[in-house]
Amino acid sequence: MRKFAWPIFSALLAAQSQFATAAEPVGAPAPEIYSSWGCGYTLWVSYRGPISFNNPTSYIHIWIPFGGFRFDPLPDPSPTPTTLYGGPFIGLQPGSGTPPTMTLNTDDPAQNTPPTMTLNTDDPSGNNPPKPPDNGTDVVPVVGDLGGPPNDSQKKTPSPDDTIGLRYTGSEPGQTLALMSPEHMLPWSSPVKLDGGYDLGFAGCTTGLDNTCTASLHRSELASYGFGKLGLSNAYTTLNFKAFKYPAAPPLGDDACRSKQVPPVRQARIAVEGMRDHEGELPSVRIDLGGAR
Amino acid sequence: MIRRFSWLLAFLLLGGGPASADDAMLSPPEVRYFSSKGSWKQEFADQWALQRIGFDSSPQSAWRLVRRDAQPVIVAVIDTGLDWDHRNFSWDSLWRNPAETQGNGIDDDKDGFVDDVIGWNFIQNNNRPWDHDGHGTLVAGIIAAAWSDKDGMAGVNPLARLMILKGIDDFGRARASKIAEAIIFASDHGARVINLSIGGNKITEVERAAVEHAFSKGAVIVAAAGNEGVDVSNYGIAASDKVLVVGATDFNDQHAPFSNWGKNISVAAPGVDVMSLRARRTDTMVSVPGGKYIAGSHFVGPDRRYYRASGTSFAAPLVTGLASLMIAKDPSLTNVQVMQIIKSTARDVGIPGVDQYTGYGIVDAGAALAAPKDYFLLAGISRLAPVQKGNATVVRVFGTADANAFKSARIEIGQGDNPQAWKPVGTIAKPVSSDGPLGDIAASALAGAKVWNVRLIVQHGNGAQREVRYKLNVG
Repeated sequence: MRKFAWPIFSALLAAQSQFATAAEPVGAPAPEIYSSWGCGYTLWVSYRGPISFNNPTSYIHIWIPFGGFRFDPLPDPSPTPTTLYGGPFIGLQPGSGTPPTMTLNTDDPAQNTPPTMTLNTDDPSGNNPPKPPDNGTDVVPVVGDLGGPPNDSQKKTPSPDDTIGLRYTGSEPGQTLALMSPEHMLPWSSPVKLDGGYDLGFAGCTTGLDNTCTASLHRSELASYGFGKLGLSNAYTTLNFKAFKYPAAPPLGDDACRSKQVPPVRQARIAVEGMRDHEGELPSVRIDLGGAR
Repeated sequence: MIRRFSWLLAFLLLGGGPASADDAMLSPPEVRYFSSKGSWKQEFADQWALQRIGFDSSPQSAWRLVRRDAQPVIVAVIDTGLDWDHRNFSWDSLWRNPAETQGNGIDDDKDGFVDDVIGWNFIQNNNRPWDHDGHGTLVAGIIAAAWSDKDGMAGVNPLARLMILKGIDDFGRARASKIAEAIIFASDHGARVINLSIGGNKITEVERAAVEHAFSKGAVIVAAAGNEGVDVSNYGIAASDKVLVVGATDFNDQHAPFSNWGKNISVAAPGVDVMSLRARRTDTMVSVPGGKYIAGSHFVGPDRRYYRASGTSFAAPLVTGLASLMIAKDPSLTNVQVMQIIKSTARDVGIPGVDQYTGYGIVDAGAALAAPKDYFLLAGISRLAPVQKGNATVVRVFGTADANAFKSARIEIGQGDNPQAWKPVGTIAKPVSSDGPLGDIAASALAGAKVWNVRLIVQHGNGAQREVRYKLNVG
């Protein structure tokens, strides 16, 4: 197995401060950076470190593509977040020993704590302005149905543009305070399949042309995720960070790049030229590119 | 014109026949997308690819040749992982490592991987091979999407038990060394079939060694031909002769333009607009460089749980599914037998005979599952070489003319790129194995034209025959 590429380690450490600054974490310890080589264009970098926003602290894991493999912001015909497809991924991982409170995004993070919103309710419209959790104590684990699968989410889904701010209040220190993604639950450890909500985005984004991006969660996304089915917990806020570039990968001897075998899609276009009907000129058809590839 | 052997007829003569719906054989699945069409406004069936290779709903459906209680088969999928919580994927279709205790943090089977219960994530070195890209879930769904989801789609083999080996990262990229590691893992943990919808330049020594190892352990290795439109002879694992290399065809059974070509192409399978499972929060086409894909445009279904994609990546798992179903039907089949049967029973398309675009042709599941275990019918011309024979120069034809019940073979020549008439130049009474001398063509026979086609036709004792052509430029 190819081990960690030590030659890049120092460079990554050098980049660490830049990265940390970009993410604007509050507090110590310094973030850790892990890396693994993708192939051809990409070096994966993961960032682990505490990031605090107005006290609530989470443990955040950020994946960033860089080094020439650019994911441009993409238009999305669906109401789902556009920036989560493929690799760029930010997962929120459980905190450790941190106060069992978290804030999940508002347009103004300063307003998150307090007042805040609660997640576990059948009436999301009641979430804002905030009210106490339903049972007055915990909202972890969240049980029941908060929106359900996409097909029945309409009645419970607030305005798509309503960026949600959520606060969870746990009952004890060290409580899990993260969106627990299905991938953290292996089949044998989860009593039920977690099929609800197909397109929730964990807060995540894709670097744009300026190598920056912003991630946030919206209330509609939560509802569409069938959130109540997850072993959920807390969450988080808008995140800004910058990706950075890194020199080319070191030579890897006999090792070669491999990739999935999906050809690029190219649109077929047909242009009709010379359409001057009243002048009697016959139109001609030019096929610029037909079909895939 | 080459006469087509009727496998269905042979099957009926042998005492088989369409099974009734209530017998012990598999019946075609009764799920939504298997019988629907137009889910992305196309005019053909949503699961056309499956149906095109013989897994349809007819009385002759290939599934009806396999018993419901046939033996499950371990299939390794070396890819970007799996969304195992997809509603249309059953956990019963996952391989479980019998020698590993779940979640105890101990390497019970001492294989170097802790708690490797369903597979391994070679990218992040853990036991959670989750799919953040979507490619692996597409592949897995083609092989083994559950038949129990009435609102869903069907995979080829409900008896497959998928070993999920994440060897490709979340951008769909990998290193050959990772792939090799995963191949070793798969073969050492009992995988009978290994799917590799992966490609890249050249085959590395470590990959070659891994393939040799897996082949020696009896695994059928199925590899995508690749999508560069280039010669596959030096294209990743597809360059190995121990691998079943699968090219892609389109809805008209034509070679897909992106599909790699070359002598190593074994067979073809549909690889355009193949529908399968979409891993949540993924859109695998987005990370394909060089395209103009519009995010979300390949989602299928109102809940976006499905996806359509093109590529040899999705042709290969159709063949993997078939290979695994053959082994489920008859676990005593060797990997060589499976590979030979799949090639020998493939349906010839495109250029007549075995060709560099589709190999032996599009796989025919019904024929492959009905064929006797020792069945093979191979035809190949590996090279032509001028040879001095006495005072004359001849063109010697080398290749393969072989069958388990070899009847005869003959060599013919015809003028031009697409000969309208053929002239016999020799017959072959005994089978000839790989790269053996098949016969000689007198130089004088090649007078009168600068371009010739040499044709080899091999006949099986059961009436089937297979041809292959080789273009010869004179002068």
